Amino acid sequence: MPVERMLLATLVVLLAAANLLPGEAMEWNREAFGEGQWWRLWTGQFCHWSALHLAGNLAAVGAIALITGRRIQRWLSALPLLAPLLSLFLLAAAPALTHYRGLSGLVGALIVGAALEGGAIGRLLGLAYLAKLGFDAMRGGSSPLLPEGISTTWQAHLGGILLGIATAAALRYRRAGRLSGS
Amino acid sequence: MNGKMITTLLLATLVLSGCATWFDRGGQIHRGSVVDYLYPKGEQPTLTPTVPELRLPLRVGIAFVPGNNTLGELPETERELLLKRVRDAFANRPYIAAIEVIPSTYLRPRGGFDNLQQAARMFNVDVVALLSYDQVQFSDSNRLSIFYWTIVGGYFINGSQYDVNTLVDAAVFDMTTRSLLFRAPGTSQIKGSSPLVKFAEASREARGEGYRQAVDDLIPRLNTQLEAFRVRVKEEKVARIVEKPGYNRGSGSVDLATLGLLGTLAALAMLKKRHAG
Repeated sequence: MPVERMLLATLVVLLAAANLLPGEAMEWNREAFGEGQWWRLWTGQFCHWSALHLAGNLAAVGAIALITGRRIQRWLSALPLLAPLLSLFLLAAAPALTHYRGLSGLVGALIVGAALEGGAIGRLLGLAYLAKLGFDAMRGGSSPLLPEGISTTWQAHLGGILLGIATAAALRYRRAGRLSGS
Repeated sequence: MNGKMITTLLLATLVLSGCATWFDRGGQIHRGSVVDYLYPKGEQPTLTPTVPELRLPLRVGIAFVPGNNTLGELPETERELLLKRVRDAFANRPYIAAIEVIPSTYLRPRGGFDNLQQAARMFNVDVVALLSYDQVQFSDSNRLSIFYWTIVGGYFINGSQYDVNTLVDAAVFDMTTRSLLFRAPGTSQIKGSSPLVKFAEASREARGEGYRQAVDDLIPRLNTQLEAFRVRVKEEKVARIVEKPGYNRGSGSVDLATLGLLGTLAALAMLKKRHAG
């Protein structure tokens, strides 16, 4: 599907630009939004604090792709559309947050995709991820993949799951529309 | 005055001027010492057992130690360019909010910590990286300088040679406790030669290049020391890290538990597919 391919190409461009250009200009930055730097709504979800941070998140995407199979493509193609929505969600859901970088919020949306389309293993992943999210929300999360002084924003993971559920609903609605049309 | 006398005078002038260039012209020393600047009266650094508190993200100032303002020192514009090179190499760090270049005109020679703290307040920085320098230029004439006796040789023969040795040392100080956090050196050596009439220009260019190469040598070493300092903060608690109020850096990152879970389930999915196939 050409739209899906175009969105996948956009995803690759966003990922490359956000990680190759200077992080300060790409990150989610509450103050910078006020100055009209709206591109950060997209790039903030794709840029990273370090190469290790990026590698960890890409490894997670790779594992989800293995669990879900070819159907992951349409979920991946949704990421450029979900990125600004997740950024706006963070503005409201994490009022203390000033700077943010990382793909794992959107990984939450892909996990919903894996839970719905990855069979029993995908459902098991979805349940385990929800349990982990609850644990992080109560205890506060950190990751050894992150540089010192940076904590994991569990609200991003929650936002990713909520946007994943919304994406599933939209895909189902589109499928139902096609079936009734034919 | 007869022709014989004029000829003798001319010869004497030529010979004497030749001798003047034949001899070693000595060297130049440009020095800006961090100890002379911070402890101008030779006072002892106070040894108070305080642990510096670094409030992230740090605002960092960077400056050359003011020198003795002798002719031939590195011009202010060139200093700023060098400081900007260091700034650009360290700007992209999540724990650094800004790196401000402090011009030498804001620092008094032998001004001490009081002067440095004034400048730090003016530029609103928490720590300052002070670059001290020591550059020695040796100049002398080589065998080819014999052609200077022909006058024309002074324009075309590389009979004057120079050897410029430069040391640039960056020392990073916490402004609140005045304690030295870490330091790193950078060195360079430049050798060259030029004709007599171009010697001043060529040696000036070599001195500038000496600073540039020393700063290029300094940057990776400073980076290594910065990383070593971060390890010491973590393991030996040589400084306390505090986040500034209102500063909250978050990340979307998977942790090792999630990665382990994903890896296991992905391996399971692969096995299942292989069995199904």
